[in-house]
Amino acid sequence: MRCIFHVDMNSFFASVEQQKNPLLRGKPVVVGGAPGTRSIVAAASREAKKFGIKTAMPTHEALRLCPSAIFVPPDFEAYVDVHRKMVDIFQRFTDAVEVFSIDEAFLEVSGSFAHADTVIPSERSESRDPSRKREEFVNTFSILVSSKGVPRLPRSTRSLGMTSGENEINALTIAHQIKSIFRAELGEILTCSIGIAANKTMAKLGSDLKKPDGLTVILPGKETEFLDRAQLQDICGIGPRVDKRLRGLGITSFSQMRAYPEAGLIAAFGPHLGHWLHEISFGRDDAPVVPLYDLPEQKSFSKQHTLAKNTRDPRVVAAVLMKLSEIVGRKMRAEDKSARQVFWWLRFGDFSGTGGHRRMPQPLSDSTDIFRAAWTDMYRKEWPRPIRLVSVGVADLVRAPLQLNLFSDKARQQRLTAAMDKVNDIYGEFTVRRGNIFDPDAILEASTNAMARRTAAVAVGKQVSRAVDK
Amino acid sequence: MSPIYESIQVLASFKDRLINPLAFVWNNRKYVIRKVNLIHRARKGRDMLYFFSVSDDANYFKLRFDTGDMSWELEEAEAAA
Repeated sequence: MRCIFHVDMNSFFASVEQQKNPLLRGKPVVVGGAPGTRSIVAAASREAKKFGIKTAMPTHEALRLCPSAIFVPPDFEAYVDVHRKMVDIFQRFTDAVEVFSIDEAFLEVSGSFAHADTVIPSERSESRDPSRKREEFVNTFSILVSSKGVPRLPRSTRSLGMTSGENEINALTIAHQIKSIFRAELGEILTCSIGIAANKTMAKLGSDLKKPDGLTVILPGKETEFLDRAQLQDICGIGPRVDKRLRGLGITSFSQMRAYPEAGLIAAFGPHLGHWLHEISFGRDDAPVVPLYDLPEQKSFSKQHTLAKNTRDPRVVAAVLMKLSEIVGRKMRAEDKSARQVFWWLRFGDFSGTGGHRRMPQPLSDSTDIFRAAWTDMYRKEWPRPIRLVSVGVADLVRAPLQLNLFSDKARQQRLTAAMDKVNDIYGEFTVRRGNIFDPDAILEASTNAMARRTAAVAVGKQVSRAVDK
Repeated sequence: MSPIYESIQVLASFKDRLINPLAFVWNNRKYVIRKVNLIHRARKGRDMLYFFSVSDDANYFKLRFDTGDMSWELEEAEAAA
C-alpha cells in the first residue's frame, strides 16, 4: 500500500512577503504589478482572498474588490530560494519527491518508516539511543505512549476512524514534523496544507480540503466518501472543458461517473482519459511519484514577454525577440543542447494570434540564429492588429554538435557566443549583450536583408574580441 | 515600501555557518535589528548574494550582502504607519 503526501504551501508568494515584512501581516497583500499597469495577481494573502481576489485576476480588478489592498512587486529570487529549502526539507524524509510546482510537491513515504522510532530525520536526530529517541518523539508531538510502548493516537485522529497501525501513525508524525520544521527553518508565517492518501490524486484532493495549515488523511477504502462530497473540478486533471463534456453525458458527480460504463467514457474521451476518469471515480490512481532525479529530459525551451504597450513597431518587436532569443539560447547552451526546430508566437491586442515554426537544416544553438529563424517568418506574416505578446522557443533538441572548422565564420560566431556566455556566467546575466538589443534600427536593417548578411552589431568589449581571436 | 539601494555599514555575527546581522548604520543613524524574518540567496554570476529581511521595533528593512565584494547594501525599507 502506497502512502503519498501532497504538500501545498498556503498563499505562497504572499506568505513569503508577509514572512519578510511583519508590517504586511494580517493585511490584504497582493503580489503582482501595480494597478494601472498591464499586470495580474500572482498571489493573494489569505486576507486579500476574503475580498474575492484570485490568482491571475487583473490587478485593477483586485483593487476594485479591495481598495485597501497592498500591492507588492514579486520577489522571485526569494520564492525560488524558499522553494529550494522546502525541497531540501522533504528530501530529509524521502528521496521520492516530485516537485509539482513552485509551491507544491508530492512525497512518497511508503515503506520509508516501519517503526515509530525511525521517524526522526537522521540529519536532525541528536541521539541514537532508542529510549531517548522515543522520549524526544513523545515530547515533541504529544503522542501518548501506552504501557506497551505502542503510540496511541490523539483523540482528533481517532475520530477519523483510523486504526493504530504503524503506517498511519508514521504518516501523521512525518506530516507534523514537516510542519514543525517549516515553522522553525522557513518562518512562522509559511504554513502548508498536507493531504495524505494512497495515491497522488486523492492526496491532492486532501490538501485542498483544509486551508490554511491543514492536515487531511484519506484512508484507503474511504476515497469514494471524499469524492462524493467533492465537485468534479476539485480533482486535478478535470478542468472546465472536461467538466462540460461530462455534464453533456449527464455526469455531474463522481457517483454518477462510477455508474457510467467505462466503455462509454472511453468512447467519449479516448482510451487514456476515459480510463483515467473511470479509475479516478473510484479514487484509484496508479500514477507514480516521479523523483527529481528521474525527470525526463527537457524537450524544449521557450520564453515569452507581454509588452507594456501594444505596438506595431517592428523595431520594438525585433528588439524584444532578440532578447528572448538570447535567454532561450543561454538556457539551451547551459544544457549542452542544440535545436532542430524554432517556433514563435505573436499575440495581438484582441488576444488572437499568429505563429509559426521552422525546421533547421542543421541544429543551432546560437541566439542570433534563433532570432533570425523566428524573425524571418514573423516579419513576413501579416500583423492585422497591434502586438501584445512575443514568444519564441526551440524544440527537437539534440546534443550540441562538435565545433565547426576553426577558421569558418560560423566557428568564430560560436567562439564569440561561448566567450559571452563565460562573461555572463561570471558576472551575471546580460553583463555583455549584443548591440542590436540596444539598437532596434540595427535589428530592422539586418533582418530585412538576406539571411546571408551577418548581424555584426555585437556590443562586446575589446577584451571579449581578443578572447575570441586567441 | 521604498526602494533605497544605498551602501550601509553592518555589524554581524558569523556562527554555525550563518551570517546574522545585528545592527546597521544608515544616514548616520544606528538601527538595531530585533528580528531576522527571512534569509534568502540568489546568484549574480559566480557570486552569491544574501538577502536579509529584518525588522527593528517599528520598521522593516531588506539588506543585501554581496559575497563577491563583501559589501552591504540597504535595498528597501518601510516604516510602520
